[in-house]
Amino acid sequence: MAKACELTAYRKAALHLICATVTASMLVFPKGLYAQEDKGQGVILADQLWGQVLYEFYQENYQPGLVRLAIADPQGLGVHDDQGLVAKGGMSLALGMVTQAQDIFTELAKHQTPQVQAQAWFWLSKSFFDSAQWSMAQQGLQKTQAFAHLYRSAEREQLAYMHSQMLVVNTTKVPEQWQFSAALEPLPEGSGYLPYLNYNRGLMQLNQGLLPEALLSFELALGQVSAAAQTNWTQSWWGSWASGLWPNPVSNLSPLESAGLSDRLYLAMGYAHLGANQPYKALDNFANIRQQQQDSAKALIGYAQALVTQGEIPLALAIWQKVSEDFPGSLAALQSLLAMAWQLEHAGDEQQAWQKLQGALEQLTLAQKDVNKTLGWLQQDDFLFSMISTNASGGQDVQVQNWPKSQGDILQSLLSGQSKQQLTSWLDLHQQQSQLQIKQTDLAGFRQLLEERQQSAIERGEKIAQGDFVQHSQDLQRQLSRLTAVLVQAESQQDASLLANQTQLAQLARLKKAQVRLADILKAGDLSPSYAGRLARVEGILKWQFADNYHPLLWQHKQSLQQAKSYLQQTVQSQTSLLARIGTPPTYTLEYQKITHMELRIQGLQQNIKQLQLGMVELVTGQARQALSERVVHLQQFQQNIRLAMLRLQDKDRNPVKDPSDSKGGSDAQ
Amino acid sequence: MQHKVVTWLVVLLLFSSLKGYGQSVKEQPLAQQIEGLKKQIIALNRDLFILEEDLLFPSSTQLAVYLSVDVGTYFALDSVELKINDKTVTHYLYTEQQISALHRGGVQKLYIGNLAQGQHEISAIFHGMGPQQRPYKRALALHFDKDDEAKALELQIRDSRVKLQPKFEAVEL
Repeated sequence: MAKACELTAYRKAALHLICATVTASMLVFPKGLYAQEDKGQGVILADQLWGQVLYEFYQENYQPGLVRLAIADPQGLGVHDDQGLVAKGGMSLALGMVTQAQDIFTELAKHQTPQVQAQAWFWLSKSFFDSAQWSMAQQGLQKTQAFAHLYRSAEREQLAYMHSQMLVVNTTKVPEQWQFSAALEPLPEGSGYLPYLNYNRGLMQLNQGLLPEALLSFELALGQVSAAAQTNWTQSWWGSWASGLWPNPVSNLSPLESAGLSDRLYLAMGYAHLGANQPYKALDNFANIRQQQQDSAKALIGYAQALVTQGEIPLALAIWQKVSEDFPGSLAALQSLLAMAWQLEHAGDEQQAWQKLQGALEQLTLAQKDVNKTLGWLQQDDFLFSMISTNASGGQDVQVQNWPKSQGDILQSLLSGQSKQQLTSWLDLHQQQSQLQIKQTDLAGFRQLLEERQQSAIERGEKIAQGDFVQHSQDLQRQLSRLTAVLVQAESQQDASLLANQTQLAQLARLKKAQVRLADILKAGDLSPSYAGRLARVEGILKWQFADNYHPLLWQHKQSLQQAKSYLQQTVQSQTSLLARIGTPPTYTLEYQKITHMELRIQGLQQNIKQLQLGMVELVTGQARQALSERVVHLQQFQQNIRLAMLRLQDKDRNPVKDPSDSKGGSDAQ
Repeated sequence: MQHKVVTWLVVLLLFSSLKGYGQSVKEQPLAQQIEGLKKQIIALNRDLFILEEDLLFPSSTQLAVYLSVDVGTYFALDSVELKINDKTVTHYLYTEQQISALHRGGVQKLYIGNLAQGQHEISAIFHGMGPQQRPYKRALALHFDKDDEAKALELQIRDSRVKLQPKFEAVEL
């Protein structure tokens, strides 16, 4: 059962991928983008925003997609609001924001449209299933049954997978055979889910002591592995940690996946047969496991054990020897060497038995060294950072090569189950941290941009202030004053000539000339009364003409001057205002405040990430340390067993040359 | 001076709120803390996006060009070259995933930049595979007025079922 759970946990991350990819195909969103002329500006904007969300969503860029949705939030998405919510829930789930996703889908499940309800319950079940909330997942799955006709084949397949897995994880009740059959029925022949489900089922049956049933399930799974390997499969869900947290979908179940599962199945079947005292069948199964793989040491030991029960001691010894050479420092190697020593001692070859025990002591020393090395490594603050490597697709992975091979099984358990989740989250946060650093740089860039704008505004202001328009306005002011003075003088002297233009001046000159002539005539005297009268009339006409020219001119000039004054006043006001603005360039206070605010938010987030990462590292290292402590206890037990075996051989007084300086093993034995 | 005091008050307020947040999140389970963190990062990205547009592309000079595809039976898009006033501003090469996203209703923001107010010309050159799987190259142009409001244009690739040819259009939004 432990393995079943492990497998379930192992698949969780991969299920997120399925969610994301399947959503992309299941949500058929109406486009409705192409009739702008019939739409209002708000509708066009909503369509545009929704299109941008979809562009990110379908590329599986979930974080940018959620950012787009957040940008669209204030104005809404209009007719796309419901679809927006479904997409938000899906993207949240894919990003591991399970609570948010559950809230959204719970809300959507109340929707009136059956299609929306169907999708909501599907996703809700999946999110509960992913977060191991089994009873809630069970309830969700029951709800989906009402909408079975609305699901596409990919969704139905996933629902069937969840139904079947629920039977395995529900430890309180042993499922009936028919329940399994009913749950697996919707899965098409050749589905990649089938072998895993039957493997889990077999493990569960094995755990319950149902040996024949378990073997049947394993055999069924084995047959389905090869079928699935040849079937087109939309997604590789046997996601390997070592090859990336988010592997790209592949069209077929990869040979590596099917071979890995086959190994597991043969191993399980081999030990099941061994437990049932069927060594030949056990041998057949163990023989099918690939060499140099993670399960091969266990398989080889089981194989040798089966051979011993058949009396094939030399062959068993050869296999143990191989294990001790291929997996140095491992528990399997120590186990093999002890088994060899035991068999050799019982066969009467104490000398070789002694040598094997010495070899075991050497392997023990190696194992202890590796444990200490690993413990020392775990104590370093940046041990997880030192494991990060950049993969081919530009993403980051945890590099496993640094881990001592002899402790490979501990690493394997770390990279699965709860620790794997912690490591995934840790790596995710590490990437978020890098993104935040980029954002910090962006903000620094914005700050610099504002400073440059401020500086250029000051320089431009200075340049403008130094320009000749200020001098020009002062000249104009002076001209205005001079003209005003002329007007005053003309008024006081009643002199129209000061105000007249060239034509008017000529006319005035003629008038003056006429007046002079008139005066000359009058001085001559002895004028007839009628002539004197005519002259008097002419003088009157001249005076009238002069007055007629003077007053309008004065009025005209006063008006004109007043207008000029008004214009100049306005100009001076604008100029003063401009100079004032130049004198106080933009401070961008609001923008700077926003930048400061965001910088502080980033700092806060970075601090939080650091704390969370520390917590995760503590958890992971704690688990690793515990596993290593258990390993130390195991090694101590082995050491004790080796010494006991050596003492036994010494007691028989048949041990070879006892030279204390011969080896550490020898001194330990003494 | 008054500005400085206000700024410092804002800074102090923010520090105190962040500190308060830090204290409250510690009590939550790890998964919820991470989820909360992710939500904050998304909100931060949103605010940054808005600030970036405000600072770099103010509405008085902003020009955004979008691209959308409908059906795409007669034309498989490979790349687009966008010119404004006969000057290339972007040359975009598409991946399969991006093309698929466009076919499924996605709208790509192809370009965002600044442009002076007045008359302008935009031209786009589309490269791809046309009917009968032959290399296909088409261009379109649009004259438009830029005023003091943000300007948005959309390049549309449609199928003309009558002509059995792709149809390229540029529209003002």
